[in-house]
Amino acid sequence: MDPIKPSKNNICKFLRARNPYGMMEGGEHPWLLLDDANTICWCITSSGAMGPDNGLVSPKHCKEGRSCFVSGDADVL
Amino acid sequence: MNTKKEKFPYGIPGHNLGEIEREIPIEEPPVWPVNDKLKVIGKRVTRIDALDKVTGKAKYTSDMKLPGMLYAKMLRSNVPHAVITSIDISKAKNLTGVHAIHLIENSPKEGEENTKGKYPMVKYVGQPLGGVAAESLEIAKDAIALIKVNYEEKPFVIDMEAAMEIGAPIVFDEPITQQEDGGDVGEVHDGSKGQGNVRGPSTSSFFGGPRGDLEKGFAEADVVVERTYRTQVHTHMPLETHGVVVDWKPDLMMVYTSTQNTNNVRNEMASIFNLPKSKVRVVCDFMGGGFGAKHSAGSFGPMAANLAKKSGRPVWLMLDRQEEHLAEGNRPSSKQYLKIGAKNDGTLTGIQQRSHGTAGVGLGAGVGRIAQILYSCPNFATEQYDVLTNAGPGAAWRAPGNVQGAFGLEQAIDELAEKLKMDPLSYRDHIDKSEVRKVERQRGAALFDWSRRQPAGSGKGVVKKGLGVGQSTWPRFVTLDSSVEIKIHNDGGVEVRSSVQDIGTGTKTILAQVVAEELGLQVKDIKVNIGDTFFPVGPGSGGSVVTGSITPPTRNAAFEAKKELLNLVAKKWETDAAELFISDGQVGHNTDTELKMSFKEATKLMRTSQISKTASRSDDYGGFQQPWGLAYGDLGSVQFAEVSVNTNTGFVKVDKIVAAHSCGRPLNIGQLESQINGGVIQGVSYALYENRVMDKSTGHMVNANVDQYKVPFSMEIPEIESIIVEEYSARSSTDAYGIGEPANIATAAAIANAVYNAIGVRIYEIPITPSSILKALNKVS
Repeated sequence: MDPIKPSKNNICKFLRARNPYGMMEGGEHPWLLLDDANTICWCITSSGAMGPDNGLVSPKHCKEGRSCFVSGDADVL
Repeated sequence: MNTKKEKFPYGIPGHNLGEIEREIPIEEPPVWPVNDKLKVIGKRVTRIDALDKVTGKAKYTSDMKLPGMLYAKMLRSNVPHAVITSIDISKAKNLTGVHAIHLIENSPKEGEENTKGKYPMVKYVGQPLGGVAAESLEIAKDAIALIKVNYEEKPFVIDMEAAMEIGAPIVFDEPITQQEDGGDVGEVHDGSKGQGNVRGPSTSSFFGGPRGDLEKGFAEADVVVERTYRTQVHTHMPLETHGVVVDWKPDLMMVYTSTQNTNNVRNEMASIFNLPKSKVRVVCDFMGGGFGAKHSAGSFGPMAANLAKKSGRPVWLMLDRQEEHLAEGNRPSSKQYLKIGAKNDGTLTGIQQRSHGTAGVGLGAGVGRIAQILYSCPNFATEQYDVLTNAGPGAAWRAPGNVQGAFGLEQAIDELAEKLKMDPLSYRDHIDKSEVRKVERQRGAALFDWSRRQPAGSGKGVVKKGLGVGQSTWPRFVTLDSSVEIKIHNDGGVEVRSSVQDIGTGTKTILAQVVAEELGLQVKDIKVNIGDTFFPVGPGSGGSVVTGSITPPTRNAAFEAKKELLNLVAKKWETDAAELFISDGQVGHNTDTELKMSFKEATKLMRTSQISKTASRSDDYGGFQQPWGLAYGDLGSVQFAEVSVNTNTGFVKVDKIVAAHSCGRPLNIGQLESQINGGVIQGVSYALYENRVMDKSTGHMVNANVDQYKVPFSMEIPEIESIIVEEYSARSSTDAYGIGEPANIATAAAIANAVYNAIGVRIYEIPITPSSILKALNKVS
């Protein structure tokens, strides 16, 4: 696990970490791995471990610049 | 912040119970004494929903029937790796009774060209491709059979070791060129593997990274054990499969679902369909079990919602058992190398761990942190690698990674003890610093009669008996986003509200117990309404977090509601509210015994129809471990196994398990025993039976059913005796924690050690089958 929490803004809004330990962050960082060795990553857009671009899903991959990336700020209701 | 100082019970009754002073926020309720002095907490209270469950009154998601409801079935891939060239739905669309078909398609962003093809690539057999909603499940199934999917098949790989070879088919085509991409760029150990499908290594966790100097540690060692352990892929088998009913009304998406996390499902559905959270309501009233794979809306949730949107009708979508096996998660496999060194006096000098595992098309196949933290050792390092294969994705599975990790570590510790000529239980006394596990070893050994244990393989006759032990640790996780509303109605009724769900473990009952204890009422007086996202946010049921997260705010909200009620009584009696108490349903006065009023009568003093108080989980007393906010302490366990091994047939029978556990302040002894029983049975099943079998030539799982995917029958379940050790640590207003994960971690390791004790040959791979026993005994090749 990275010692520094990654910036939320750089992570795709559709990434979810199925970490085994529940959320300790008040639900604000749903992609946070806590323990990257035991966390399954999931894209809620494609409903799977594979992103809409057919690539692997993880916080290291689901960043700005990836074709399917959607910013957390893109939430228009 | 205003604070007060309070003295709390601290330690283990019958061992080292004392007191500790903590400075806590002034609004926190007064200290609860140890359980012996409480009326409801720590007692064997019957589940408040037991009658509903055994009479069939309890309604589960699959029981839902709404007016006009359609039944849905999902379309899934039947090849392991392919590009979809076309999908023909014309015949299905024209089938009488079909109302909607939804296919999962790539949708490029606005203004961008779709370069990835119309449909997502197929990466494993069972991958969801679409769904049909029809007037009956039978019609939906018929429609699915009429859909023609044309594939351009690609090479695939199922076997983990084959996937690690250079030249293996690549599961994800995108090149891995930078460490930042998660790529394993040249970090290989045998010079021939590590490219393509391998990701990692993961070397650190919230417990820190590598420590000390391994080379120095092993140089100091007099004794070294160096072994490789293997565990299988273990799929999820909850009694109730995954599923939803989605009723998408104009102003509200109503979702009934079997979930471990109502709040998470609500948030996901809101994000996927770009809805405000306030316009999605998720309800889970009763649930037929979940062990880590039911935290999300999955693929079935959005599918049902899309079908509901297209058809304009509610849609029922429950998965069948085959779909569960193929696509709804599994405990990844592991191949774990362990090297452990110790001095002649037993002191550990080095622990090295390296693992590879496959979670299919997903990541997260590590073996946990148990080797890092269970025993004190100055020199430690781990490297945990994921290997991608064309198989269904893994999921959290009751103590993810730790069960695999314990299977290796606890056998290695046994082997080390033997080399040191020490009894394995005594050796753990020497190297384990945990006070609670020390007590568990003492009490467990006495109940189990560990003194019966004979040297390995020394038994006479065809059927040999063996005794073994295994230990575990699990962190105390707390979800601070945990809130509860307590209502006291003016008719005397008391209600608990939270979105937290009861996944079958008895959460409803412990919440009623906490409120009953605080309000001086009986459990039957409390109505618990949970599992609904229209109520305050509760935690997900994972990581054994629920009890430690939700019971403190429950007590705190009840305490606040009680204070307000007692203020009304004090006003009427013209006395100080601090002098009042509620006990056995009566409001009383500390010094004036003439003053009495029933609880129900007191509620009639309310000016409004109800008192409503909401509380959220406060920080642990004494704070959290920094920087990651982890609670102090752990949930320790020690399990003892007795087995019989037939050396002619190879059959292993687990005769008895003694399971000694801690979870802070125990709230309900019967429910804790029930969870321990469940954990042990799953552990027996993992050690001896369950195993996903894949056809490497087709990529299909060949035992995706409940016939050939073996789980224990009643005759294969051992006698289970539980020991629950009370342990007070003064960290919250209830000081209670869960026991879900810990009940499951040590069982397979204890059984493996018992099997070794029986036959004198160690088995390094599970499941331990008749074949593996006979091979170990050189009776078959």
